[in-house]
This record gives sequence, structure tokens and C-alpha cells, in this order.
Amino acid sequence: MTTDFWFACIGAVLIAMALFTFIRHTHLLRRILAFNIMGSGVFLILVGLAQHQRQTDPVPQALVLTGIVVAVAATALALIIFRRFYQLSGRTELDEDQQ
Amino acid sequence: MQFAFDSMLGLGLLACAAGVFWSRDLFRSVVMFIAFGLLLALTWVRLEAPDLALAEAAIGAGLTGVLLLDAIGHLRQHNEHSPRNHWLLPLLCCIALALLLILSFNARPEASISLPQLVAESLPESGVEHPITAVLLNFRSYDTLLEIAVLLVAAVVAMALNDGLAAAARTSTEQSNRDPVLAGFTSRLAPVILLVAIYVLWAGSYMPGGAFQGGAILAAGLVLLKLADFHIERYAESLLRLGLAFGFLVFLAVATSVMIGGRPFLTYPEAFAGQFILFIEAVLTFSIGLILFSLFNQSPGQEVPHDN
Repeated sequence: MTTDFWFACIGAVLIAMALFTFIRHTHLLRRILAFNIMGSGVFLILVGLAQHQRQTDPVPQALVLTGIVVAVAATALALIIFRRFYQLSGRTELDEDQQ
Repeated sequence: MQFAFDSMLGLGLLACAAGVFWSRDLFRSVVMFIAFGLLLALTWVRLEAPDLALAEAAIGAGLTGVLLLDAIGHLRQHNEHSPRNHWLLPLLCCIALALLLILSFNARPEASISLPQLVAESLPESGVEHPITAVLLNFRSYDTLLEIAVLLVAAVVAMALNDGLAAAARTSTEQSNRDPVLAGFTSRLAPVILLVAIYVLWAGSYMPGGAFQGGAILAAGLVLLKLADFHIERYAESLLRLGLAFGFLVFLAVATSVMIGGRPFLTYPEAFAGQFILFIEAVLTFSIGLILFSLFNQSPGQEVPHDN
């Protein structure tokens, strides 16, 4: 098992764990965290699998670099929307998720 | 030895993720998330992607951590309701998903062309020596152009959601409670941060580094100045609005101006490609730094939510 393949597998497990949290937890902040880690898992698969048994590949690395910057912008926007929602309603969960 | 290090690193990533997902306290989750980001930066080094390691350390661990901590600080109670009761079916689904993903890795098709070889062959024409910068700003500059557009849209939405009254109230109430140690430290650190950001930008043309990493470092410096109560957002208000769109507009202007010479969109003349790329990168660094800072700055304030 090469380093690249090992980290691609870690990425797959991270995605599954994040999906589980996403389904099970209703707190919006926890979901934003899960969303971020799911993204990191996808990045690991992208780079790890592309370089598995091949040479270092700058193209997926450049794509992931773009992805990291877009992910932080999306997270910041999600946090702003979450905080506005909390400011207006005082709740940390969506209506549909309240039991 | 390397195998042992990789195993520990991978298990550490999983352990940190487990901490983020299943610790009771949200604050602890966020701290685990920052640790996860740092481990991920190390992982990128192991995957021979130093550019990603730089970006991850500055953005994933640094900037996202600050944003999350800031959001946590404004929540009144950190404890959440107990999670949903049914867990068996989601657990089975997620285990199946992980297995399917890992199995599918073995069934991937062979690539018909070798991208690294293609990049290595065309590198002399790109105007820069570092392959990732060449991919980002020459071979696949569409991605970068659209990325800065996405960032701009995020910043505009953030501005639209922010009510100006709250921001005005915040600046008037938060006067002169500046921590002297933090302020003194930050005022000495700020020029160094700026210098590092410019160095990383400059280094991007021949070694790992570039506009994104430089922009992230710049944003981190601005966030630090804001946290130390320097009220830079007041000076920056008009400059900020100009700077946010500046990167995108200049990039678009350069991309379209080459069409006057009869070239396709976004292809630089080979003789000047290096200068074009450095110019665009410099403007992008400035804009990315400002956009990321403004996403932090636009966060809704800490007034107590209505109880209804």
C-alpha cells in the first residue's frame, strides 16, 4: 500500500464519518464542521488517488488548492448565515429538525 | 519508519475527526477541528504537495479556526440537544459508503493521457517555473478566474446580510478596551506578516507559494489587527469595497485585453506571460486577503437574540 493510496482510504473513511454526523446531529455549527471535514476527505481522495502508482501530479493539486480557498469562503458564508439566523430566532437548529 | 509515520498520521486524522464529531462540547469540537487542519497540512507534505500544506496551514487551521471560534463565542450555550435516536440505519449506510469508495479505488480506469508529463512539456511556455502556479494561472486559469468570482459573490452576500446598524453600534461600544500586550505585539508583527505574504507571492513563480497562500496570510494579518482592536475596518471601508472587486476586474480585463491581439480568451503572449502572471497574482493576493478579511468582518454582531 503506497502513501497516496493509504491517505485516499483515510479520505473515504472521513467522508463516511462526516456523513454520519451530518445525518445524526442537528446543531447547525456541528453540521458546518462535518461539511468541512467531508470536503477535506474529498481533497485527500483527489490528490491521493491521482498520484497512486504514478508521479506527483500538479493538476489535481492545483484544483484542490482552488477548492481549499472556495471551501473557506463557503464556510465563512455559512457561518454568517448561521449567526444571522441565531440572531433573529435564538435557535441553533432548523425548524424541520426540531423534535 | 515512513510507514509508521503515515499510519500514525492517518489514525491521528481519524481521531481528530472523531473528536470534532462526537465531543459533547462545541468548543472542544472546534479545537479538535484546528488540530485536524494542522495534521492535514502535514499530510499534504507527505503527499508531496507543499503548496497545499501552506494553504491548509494558513486557511484550514488558521482562518477557519478563527471564524469558528468567533462564531462559538457568540453562542449563549455550547451544549446542544442530544442527537437523534435512530443511528443504526445511518451507521450501516455510512460503513457501506466507505467500503464502496475504497473498493472503487481499485476499479479506477487508467488515464489515457499523462497530465504531469503534459504539464512538464508545456512548462517553458507558461512563463513561470513552478508547475502548480503554471496550472493555476496559465493552463487552467478559467478555474482561478471563476474562483475569485465565487469569493466575490460570497463577500457580496455577506455584505447584504450584514445590517449596517449593528456594525455601527459595535464600533461605538467597543472603544478603548485595547489590550496593551496584544496591541504592542500585533503592531510589531503586522509588518512581518505583510513581508511574508509578499515573499510567498513572489516565491510562487519558481517554488511552492503563490497568490492563494499569500492572500490567506494577508487576511490572517488583517484579522489579527482587527482582533487587537485597531479598527482597521473603519479606514478600510471605502478601500475595502474597491479592493474586493479589484482582483476579479483586473483578471477579467487582462483576460479579455489579449483578445485585441487576436488571441483566444485567457491566453497570454508567451514573451510577457511571466509578467502577466505575476501582475495578476499580485492583484489576486490583495483581493483574496481583503475578501477573506471582509467575510470575517461582516459577521453579525453579538447582541442578544430575541427570545420568542
